[in-house]
Amino acid sequence: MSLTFLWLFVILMLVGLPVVFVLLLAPGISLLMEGKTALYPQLLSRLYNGMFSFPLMAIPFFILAGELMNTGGITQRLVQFAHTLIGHVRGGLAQVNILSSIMFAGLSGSAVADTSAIGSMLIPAMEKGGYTRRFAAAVTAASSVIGPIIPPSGIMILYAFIMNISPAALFAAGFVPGLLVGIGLMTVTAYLARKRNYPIANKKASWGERGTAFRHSFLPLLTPVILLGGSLGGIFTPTEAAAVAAGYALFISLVVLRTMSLRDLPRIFYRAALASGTIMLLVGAAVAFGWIVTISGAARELTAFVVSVSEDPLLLLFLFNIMLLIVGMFLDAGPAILILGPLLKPVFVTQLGVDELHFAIIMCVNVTVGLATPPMGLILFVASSLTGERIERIAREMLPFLAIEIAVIFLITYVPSVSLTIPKLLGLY
Amino acid sequence: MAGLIGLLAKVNDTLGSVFRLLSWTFLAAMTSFILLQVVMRYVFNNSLFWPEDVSLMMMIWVALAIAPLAYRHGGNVSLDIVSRFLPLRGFHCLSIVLHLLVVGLLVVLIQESVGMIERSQIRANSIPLPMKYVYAILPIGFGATVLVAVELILRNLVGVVRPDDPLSRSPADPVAGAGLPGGQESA
Repeated sequence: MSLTFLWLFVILMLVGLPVVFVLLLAPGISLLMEGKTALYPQLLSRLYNGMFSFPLMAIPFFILAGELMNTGGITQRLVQFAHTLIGHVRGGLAQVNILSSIMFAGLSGSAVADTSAIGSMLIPAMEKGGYTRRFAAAVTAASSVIGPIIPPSGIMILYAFIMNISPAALFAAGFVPGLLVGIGLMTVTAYLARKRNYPIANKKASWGERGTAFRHSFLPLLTPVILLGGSLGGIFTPTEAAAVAAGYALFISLVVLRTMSLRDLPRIFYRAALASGTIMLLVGAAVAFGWIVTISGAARELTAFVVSVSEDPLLLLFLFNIMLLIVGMFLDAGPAILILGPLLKPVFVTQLGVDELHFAIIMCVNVTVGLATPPMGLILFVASSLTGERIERIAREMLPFLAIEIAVIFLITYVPSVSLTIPKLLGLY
Repeated sequence: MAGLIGLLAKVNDTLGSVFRLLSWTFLAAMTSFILLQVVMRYVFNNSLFWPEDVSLMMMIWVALAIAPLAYRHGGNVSLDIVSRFLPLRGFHCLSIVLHLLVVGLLVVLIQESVGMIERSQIRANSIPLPMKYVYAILPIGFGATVLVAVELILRNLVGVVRPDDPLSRSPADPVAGAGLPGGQESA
């Protein structure tokens, strides 16, 4: 089979056909041109089987859990707790924003949920507290990237499914990189706060006040314990853990906090179904596309090309990161993984001998940062629609934060133990 | 033209409400089944054999029921590198071409999925349900998406003649509301 489908793929993407249809139409037209329409039934069965997977079912449940936490006031409790811990330093609200994102990351696997939940709460408060609106939006967007890096993570589930590796090991590999991004962002914020003389949010909370805020957020903060303890400890599969997280968030919001009523449920479930149904079909289409990639020998040709450039894995990983950062400017994390993963893994893992989990974490962190890079970045869109601030202005304000995130990408690329130590210690790898 | 668009919009609104109801109730059922499975295994030490299989079949239905809704209300990810630089009339012309391509693809998918249903002899693993009933959502979802595409083509045709006509815009989702649902980054 020829590589016509790859050219069709690029053209159809550029003219703006939705990605899910590009993934099916490019191979479809290519097969038609070569008179191989007898393969159409196989394309459809790949699409169907791509969706029919139990590990993949974690994604709708994680999305549902995120929607429930946002609507059910769970996020609000976390922000209050972060306030008592760190609100008293210079630039306090910006630091609260980042710390809340770190805590929220342990509950939710989605960066968009993080931006909309924490942003809608803290951006107005930051503006009132004397920050510029674009800085408030930039801090929110930059720190939301931590969401899918610290487990659980929808993006990692997707990667683990499509590349057939252990989601638990990948989750464990995300801990340290996620925390490093968080610490890096807090350090830059502290520097900017001193330089620009940002205000102190509130006086230092007493230990009593901290204790009260902790008690209020105790039940929500148990979510990561249940989720990660359950799935890393082998009690639940990641899919079951995700369903338990959704059930737990529902229970807390409906029964304990009573911040949600039964009437809210259809809308919440529908929003989760809308986001997850779209992803499922995209995954199915990507599996069908991946099959064409395999039978066409495109991955083999790509490997030959890459190896002809250089055989030094360190240099190639550098180029790989730069390429993914550029791709991330135009494509969001899910499609980037679904399209590029099956093409690039054979090059780096099979041919160049890069460790499978190491490659996975580099790719996941890189495409996640891509969610916050202009012109096409979902987190930026959300931050922009929350504030009414133009994307370019938010993006410019984000530059120092992006620099930190890119530095972390290169750190985990060249110091594998940063990400791989925890999976090793837990015996997952 | 306005009458035809109105009629199609009404059909798509009605189908949309059915699919919306189906998708959220199925997601709620899937969550309950998996929770039930966990509870039965750890509390009652009794592993159920059906929840995973049934939930998976329901997930397929959710994905296909969502397809026309996502297409109609702009929920699918696409690049706007070219379209953002086009004048409004050019944008509508390009949209018509893209929708026509999608219709072509969907027609093939409908044909193939009907073939898949006709050939299917197997039953589900856990319950006595012939798999052709699970596959049935494929032509239904693809077919409903064709209806949406036709409505959008007509709207874009209006846009080619009168770019400012409100009729030329895709309708917003009345339930999902503003803002992207969390998790969209994977889409």
